[in-house]
Amino acid sequence: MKYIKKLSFIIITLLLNSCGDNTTTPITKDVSRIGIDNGSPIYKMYSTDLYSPGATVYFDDNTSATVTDKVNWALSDFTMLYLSKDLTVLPLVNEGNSTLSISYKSFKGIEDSLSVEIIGLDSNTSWDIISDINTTGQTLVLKAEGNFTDGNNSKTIIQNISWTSSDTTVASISTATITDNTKSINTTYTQYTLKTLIAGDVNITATLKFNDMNASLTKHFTIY
Amino acid sequence: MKKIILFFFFCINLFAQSQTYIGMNYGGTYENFTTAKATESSPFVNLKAGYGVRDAYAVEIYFEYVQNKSKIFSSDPATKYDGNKYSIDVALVKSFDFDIYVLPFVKAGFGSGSFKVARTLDKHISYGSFNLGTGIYIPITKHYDIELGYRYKAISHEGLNLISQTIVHTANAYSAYVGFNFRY
Repeated sequence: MKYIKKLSFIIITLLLNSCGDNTTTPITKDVSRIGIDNGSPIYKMYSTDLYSPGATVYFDDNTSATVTDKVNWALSDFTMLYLSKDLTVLPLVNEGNSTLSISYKSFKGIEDSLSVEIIGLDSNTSWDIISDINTTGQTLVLKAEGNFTDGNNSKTIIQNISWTSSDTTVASISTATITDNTKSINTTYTQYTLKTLIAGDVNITATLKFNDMNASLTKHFTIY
Repeated sequence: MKKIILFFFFCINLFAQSQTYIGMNYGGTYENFTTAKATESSPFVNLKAGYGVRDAYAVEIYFEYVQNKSKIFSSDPATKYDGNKYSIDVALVKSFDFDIYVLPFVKAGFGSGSFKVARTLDKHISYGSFNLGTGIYIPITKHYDIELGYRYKAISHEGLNLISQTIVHTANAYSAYVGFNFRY
């Protein structure tokens, strides 16, 4: 009987202990929406540039977090743009547009989209090789600038351009992959460098190649 | 070899005396979260089935229903409470006969459960638990007994999906209950 009293006391004490408050405010914030990082629903990019998009999740407590590599990315038209595995968007045409969208798994309503418009070179002759070199033993990063349909006439051409030398004994061209780490996701592009070897004449040709445009431009160099 | 033979006879002895039993418990549970400032206090009921000897050992399985009166996970303003909880647990019971009319026991086991929530990416949350319990059986007849008990549960909830991260909440739950068992 003594033990029963003790046990009863313990159980009643514990039962009273189990009478407590119920929390009615969520302890964890929740997802409100996801969005592609851009101030407007349209993103304009040059046909000779690349674009590294970012995505953000917004919470109901007005905070946010980067989720660029956690959402699914898709393009509406793969003939216009190319989306690489490292989430870099590269134009495949000189002019056009495509819709870039994000979603999260199969959750409906957790999605966003962005219209990507490509600003093209306004004609095949509206670009120029601005690099110049004339002595042996020098190196020079090859550079071309274009005149684009938005009025920008000194835009450096980074993507969709390749360079060749007519005489590699006079001047050779080497390539290097350059990483641009100034954005949220590192992107890469190919940099072409000309090296003059011996005196002579050489033609350096730049070729711009898109699905809807294939143009080349040659510049003559005399090396002393 | 002797130990194996003794264990063999021990098992036969237990099996020979064992009874199947069913029963029901009713009580209150108090859940205190360790990862956030939140508490839940709810009544619960469980239906159980077991097999064993009342004054020695038993294995027990029970299905539990907890009437949830808290809103700890749901973020939807239109939702008043998180969903009621349903769980299944398995426990091993060791009871003792000290010739004091009642039979004290201890229990240890594990289980899992689930409940509905109203969140953007989570509609159900599952949880796993380890539980420890103690109490007494009060025999009424050879076939019936009353059970008074106290149980502690260490609960780990499924992570909440925020896309950028997953947040896991853990809690300690303390329950006191009264129940009955029918053995046949």
